[in-house]
Amino acid sequence: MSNTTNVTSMEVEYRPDRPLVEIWRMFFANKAAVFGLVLWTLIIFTAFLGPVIYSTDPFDLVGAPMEPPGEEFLLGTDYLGRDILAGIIHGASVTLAIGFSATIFTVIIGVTIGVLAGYYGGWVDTVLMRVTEFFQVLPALLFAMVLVSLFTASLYLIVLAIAVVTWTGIARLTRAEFMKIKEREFVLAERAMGARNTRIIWKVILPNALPPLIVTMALGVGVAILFEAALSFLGLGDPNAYSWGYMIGSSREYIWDSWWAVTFPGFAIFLTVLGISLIGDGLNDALNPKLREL
Amino acid sequence: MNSQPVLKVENLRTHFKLSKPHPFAEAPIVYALDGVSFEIKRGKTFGLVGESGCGKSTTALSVLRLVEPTSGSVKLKGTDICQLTRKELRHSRRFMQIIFQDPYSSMNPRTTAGEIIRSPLKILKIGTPQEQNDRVEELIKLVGLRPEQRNLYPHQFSGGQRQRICVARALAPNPDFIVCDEPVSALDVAIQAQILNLLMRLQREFSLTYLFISHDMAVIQHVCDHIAVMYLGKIVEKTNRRSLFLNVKHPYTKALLSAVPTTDIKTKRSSAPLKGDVPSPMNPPSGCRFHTRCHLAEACCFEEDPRLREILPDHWVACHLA
Repeated sequence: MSNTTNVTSMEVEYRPDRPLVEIWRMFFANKAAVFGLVLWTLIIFTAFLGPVIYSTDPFDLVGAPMEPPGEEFLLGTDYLGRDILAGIIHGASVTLAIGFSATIFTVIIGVTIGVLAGYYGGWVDTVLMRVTEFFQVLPALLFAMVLVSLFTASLYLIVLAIAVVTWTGIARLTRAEFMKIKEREFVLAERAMGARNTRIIWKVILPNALPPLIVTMALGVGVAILFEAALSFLGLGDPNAYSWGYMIGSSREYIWDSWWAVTFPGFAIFLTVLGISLIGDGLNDALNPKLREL
Repeated sequence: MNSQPVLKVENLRTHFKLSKPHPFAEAPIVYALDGVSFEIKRGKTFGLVGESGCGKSTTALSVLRLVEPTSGSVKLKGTDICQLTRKELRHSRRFMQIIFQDPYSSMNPRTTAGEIIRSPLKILKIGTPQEQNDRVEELIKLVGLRPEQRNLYPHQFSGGQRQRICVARALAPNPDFIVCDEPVSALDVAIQAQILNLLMRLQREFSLTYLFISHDMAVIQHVCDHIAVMYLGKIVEKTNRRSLFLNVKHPYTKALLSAVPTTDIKTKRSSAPLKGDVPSPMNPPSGCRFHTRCHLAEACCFEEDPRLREILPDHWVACHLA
């Protein structure tokens, strides 16, 4: 496995088959990426164990309104007297759940469309790409707002709305990868062996297209979290889900009197998205060393 | 020996329609393959030579229907490949395999050598997993690799070793007929001989039938029993090895032969080397397609397309002047 230490110019080329160990080592050599990973370990830890350790219900009115950060409430209370720290801790799981499930939906829609367009080409590609372009030219946030406000806001609806406005990137990337890889000779070799399209798509091309998709998925989690925050800030979030975006949204009118009520959840969002972006960049470098050289 | 041809190709044409430059234009057509006929007997090697762009690889892909031929027939052991449904075609793939030119790009980089060799068995559902496993082991030894190498990935092999894996993969379903599309062109000269000898040994052992495509006259001379010279989608000369090198008739073949490097100082170069490139197959020259580069061309060559004629026993030439 000493390939990375002395690469010739030819070997620098992107190789999807590089062993996992090697990829991990490149990832861990990247300080920013490791920082992102540490951030995310903390966040995931908070999401799972936080509510057990700090069990105050974020919806409970536990203190006086707008109490500044201090001894009784470490991060203060909001305009109704709800504990901000409890909100941050309980909001972590909600925020992560939205980030991940929206990304899963995005990937399902985007990869399906991208695979069909890229693999089959021709009129299938033309039709699907026109549809994709239609979604691309709509202002994403506005479109998401319309979708959410048409129905009663719920977490599921928000997740779906985020997926509907963000799948185009993944679709275009998948399509491009498929168009590129399907011309490679090993795909022709598969056809010569009598392979069906389903095998060629899922077992031959997709594994080879995976590295850039993984990176985009990681960044997509950050995008989804930001979308949810933006929707909640505008008052379109699910009022029953205590997400960080909801905290900012509900306290935004009192920002001059209680800066802490919006600053801490904002900071939490900032760190989460920063973390996943650093992880995504790190993965990109580890999976695709050629890009880093440029 | 069975004298029935394993493969019989008749009047095979493959034309590609390009996209229209504007909506009212006629789509330009590339006449990649324009009426090619030949047959190969069991256990024999049929060579196709020509410059790049003459339609050799299109022939290879059309014969296996990896590219859809426009017309003509390809009979493999009597069944016309061109008439098969997709399902039937998939099943008949076990009888015909292909070895590609570039061993670097013809293997999925994410699968191990063992999986690559096993893939045709898996796809065609031949044998139980245990039998497949044994077959892979057998094939790896057969092509001269070590059994423990089956767990390595393609990039961990050299070019020659990779081509051995490709040979093993092609051999896995026990085919009758293998298309070798420039199997040694991407390899070092020293390795070329090894792979050629491997192919010839396997041919003797399993009485395989090869369609062997190359641009290298020396390689063709080494391995082929019958040879066809192609120019712009047509066969211009077709004969057995002996007769081709003794009684070469077509000026194009002469030019190709004179381009083979030789160590014999006494051998005189019979004709001038070819000038220029192959004309575009989108707009092939009238009459004899070679007339634009032929130093012997006469008036009739500009007008009439020469038919393939048998001028000596088993020696066919498409030239007015032969």
